[in-house]
Amino acid sequence: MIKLKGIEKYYKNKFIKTYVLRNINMEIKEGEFVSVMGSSGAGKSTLLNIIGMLDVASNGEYLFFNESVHKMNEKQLSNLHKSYIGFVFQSYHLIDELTVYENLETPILYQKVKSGERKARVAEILDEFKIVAKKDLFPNQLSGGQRQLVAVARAIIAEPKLILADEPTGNLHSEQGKEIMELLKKLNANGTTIIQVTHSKENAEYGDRIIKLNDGWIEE
Amino acid sequence: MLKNYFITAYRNLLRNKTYAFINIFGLGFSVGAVILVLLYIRFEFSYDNFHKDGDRIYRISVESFREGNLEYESYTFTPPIGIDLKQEFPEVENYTRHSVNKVFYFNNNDRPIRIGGVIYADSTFLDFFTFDLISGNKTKSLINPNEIVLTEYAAKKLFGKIDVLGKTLHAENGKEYLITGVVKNPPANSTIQFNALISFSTLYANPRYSMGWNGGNQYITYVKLKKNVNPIVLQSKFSGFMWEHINKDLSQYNVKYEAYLQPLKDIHLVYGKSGLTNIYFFSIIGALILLIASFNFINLTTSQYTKRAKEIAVRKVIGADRKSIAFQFLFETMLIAFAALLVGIFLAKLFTPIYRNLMQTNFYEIDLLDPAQLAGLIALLLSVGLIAGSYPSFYLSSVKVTDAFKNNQLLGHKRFSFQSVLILFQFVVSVSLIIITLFVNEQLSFIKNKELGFDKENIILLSLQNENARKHTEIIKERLKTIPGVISVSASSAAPSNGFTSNGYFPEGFSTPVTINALDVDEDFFKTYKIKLIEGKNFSKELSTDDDAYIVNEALVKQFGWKNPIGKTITRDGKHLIIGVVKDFNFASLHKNISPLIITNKPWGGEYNLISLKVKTSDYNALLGKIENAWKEINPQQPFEYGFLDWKFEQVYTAENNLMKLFLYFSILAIVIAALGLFSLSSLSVEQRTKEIGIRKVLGASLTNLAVLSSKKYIVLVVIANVIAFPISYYLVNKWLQNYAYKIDINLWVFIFSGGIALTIALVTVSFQAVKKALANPIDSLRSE
Repeated sequence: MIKLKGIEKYYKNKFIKTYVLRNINMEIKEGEFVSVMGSSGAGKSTLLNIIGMLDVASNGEYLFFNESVHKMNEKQLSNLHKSYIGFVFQSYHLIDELTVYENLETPILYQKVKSGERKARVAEILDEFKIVAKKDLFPNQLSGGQRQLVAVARAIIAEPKLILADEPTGNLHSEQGKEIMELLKKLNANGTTIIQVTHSKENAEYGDRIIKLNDGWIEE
Repeated sequence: MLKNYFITAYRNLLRNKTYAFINIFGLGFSVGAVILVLLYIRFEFSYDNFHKDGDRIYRISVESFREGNLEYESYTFTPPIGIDLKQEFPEVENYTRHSVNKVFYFNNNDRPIRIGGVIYADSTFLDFFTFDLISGNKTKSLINPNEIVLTEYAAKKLFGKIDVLGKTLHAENGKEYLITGVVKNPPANSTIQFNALISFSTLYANPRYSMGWNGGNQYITYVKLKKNVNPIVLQSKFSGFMWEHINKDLSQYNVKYEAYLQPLKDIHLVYGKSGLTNIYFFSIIGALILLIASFNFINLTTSQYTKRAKEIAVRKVIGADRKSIAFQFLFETMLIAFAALLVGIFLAKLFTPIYRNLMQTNFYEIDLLDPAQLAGLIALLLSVGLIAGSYPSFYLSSVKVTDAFKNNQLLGHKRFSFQSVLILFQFVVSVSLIIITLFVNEQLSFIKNKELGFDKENIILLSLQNENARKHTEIIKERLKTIPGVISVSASSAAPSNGFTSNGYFPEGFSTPVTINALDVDEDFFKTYKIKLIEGKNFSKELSTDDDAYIVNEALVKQFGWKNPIGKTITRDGKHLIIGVVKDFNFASLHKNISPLIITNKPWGGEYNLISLKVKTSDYNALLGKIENAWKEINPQQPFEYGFLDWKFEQVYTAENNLMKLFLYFSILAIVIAALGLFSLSSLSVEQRTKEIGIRKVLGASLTNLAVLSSKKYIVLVVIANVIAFPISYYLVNKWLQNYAYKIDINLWVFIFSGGIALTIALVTVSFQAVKKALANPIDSLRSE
């Protein structure tokens, strides 16, 4: 599903190049649950953003379902990521001005899903995540765990093949964290590929394998 | 999707009420101003567009040349030109004529009623033009002498009803007119305005009027060309035509008239009084104000970037591409523009009477059911949305997800330069407007208070409108002189304010005539107006030889280079001896220098037009009552109407004073909107720097330090704006002042003063927020971390 060959990322500041990622080679197959670990500043989030097409690599090749992502323009990237990838962030990143219902509806609005089907899908997911009672609340009226629950629901409502989770439990206490991890596990069991970035050894164990990053390099 | 955008926009506006308010009302006020300007422009362009076949109708205008030099041009000319044009040119389908405006007094139950705007019109007039007839016949109403067609207004004023066909009107001069029709009042956007039409044949029936090619230049002629006739080609043949009819006879005097065609639709704007200038002027001001408000919007929206960046990033993550983000913000701007449009429509409606009054036009009110106006408003909405929304949409849609999640301030310094350019523009415009307003104001008050060479205070004017008054002027004068409080009484052909008539004269030593202004006065005139005789003597009643004598002004003596003017002669219908020279006085508007003037003691037809009374009283009402009683004793046929000379002077400059007021309002609007923008920008930046201000205060910064810190950037901008605005406004003011023969000097202090105003306004608005924050307890602002 994902092939990275010699991916590098650096920032140029006057004459100095600061490397964030160096010579990353990896392959992730459909249906895998991969955990990326490493200390702060190791380049975990940058790697996730490049895989998620939110950022572009400075060098290297990136194949997504055998299509060359590194050769695509902004519009093609946007189309690809819109139909295949869902995101979950540490700080949830819900839209504050929209209610739970509206937040869930927005991704499929961008995919131009028809009104009737949209309502059905949102209703289904509200039910599945047991947050029907919260549908008219705004994000700031929810607890952290509830917000992350909504964020995960939003990530999967467009039925992505890949979910990228950047420290999804980082802001949650352990009980809530566990709940989210179980949820991701369940999604993986249903066939969704998952890549998560995490600090916690315990959470990393939910994955099938662990990739360790150290100062931009993959630790073998 | 639109619902999603709408909800987001709406909740965002609710959350940032201050900025929403500033954006909507800033745009709203400027949209209101633009709506008024557009209504006015639409009205101006609608002039004379209601006439059927109007595109084939032309007004004849005549240029008068003396010795090859253009002397004047005028659309009033002799009566036969239309007749002969139709006879000699097959291209001319028809013609029609009307006279200049006259004032009539019609008796109603022995009470004289004044009807102004009476014109003599050809029998073809009502068929030629499209004025709606209520009763009577388009082609048969004005055929015989002494037939009259009244407008609704005149009919109601005279009879209280419009059902007056067939009635007879008695004029004050004893003549009777048969009412043969009633016509609707001419629309406000008609160049031809009248209250009553009298048949043109009435003029031919009266031997007093000369109706030939050498007759009075009192008539306006229109021609309707046949279809597909090229007016330029036709016009090129007029030279030969004019030679045959008039120029051949005048060639001995080296005088020549050239006729040309003015398209009906251009008469108001192209050939009218400053119509186009006003349109340009207000279009530019309207556009500038709209830009200032749009720039506020742009700056405020892009400055609030940090508040929206996260939302934009999230939307991008969950599937929005750049185009849909740009569209979302454009849509949001359109919503705000729509709210602003509603505010603007309301304000335009509110201010229509004031604007109408100041522009002295009766332009149409805003009317949402009028499809053209509605289309205009939609176009305005879209253009405001695009001007204000394009850059923010472009800018906000370029937000990079990774930047937005990582660091909110990343784009901060890049934004600065564009924002600064916009602020600069706003203040260049505002400062220029302040400077121009101050100079215009100074010039107008200079004119108002300028020494004119005569005393215009406390002079009452009585117009001699009817024959009885003109025949008994001497008796009226003597009677008025007996009233206590009346110092002096004089009869004359005109009063000095807006210029005198002019005629051709042969000064001593000239073989071709020279056009010179002329005034007819009695021997009390100089005393009444306190005009100084600097050489020779005044006219005298006792010496009948003085009847034919002339008194001239200094300007005339100077123009002809006469060392000893007394005793020289000027010829017009016989030789006239110069017996006196008066000191120059401004008898025309101060746009012009004082031109040569001949003052005679012999009015045309032996009748004066006007009586001037120099008075001194503390109770004007009582005095006017006595004057009215005296008037009624001698001339009951004409209703008592009076005026003050001051009023006439004010009238001369009314248009300028009104323009000045409008200019002032627009300037205030511009600077208020610009200041509002600065205020909100600075409060935004202070908000973003709350923590910094707190830390600095803890570290011991003084209130002044903090105010300087937050206002420095803006103050520098306003100073630069001043530097740019000075030469621009200097150029414009200098250009405007060239319209005046008498003008103020362009003072440096005005520039400094306006710069000071702008700086003060900027300083107060900018440091207000900073000081407020600085006064707060720093612990509060630091606790949030």
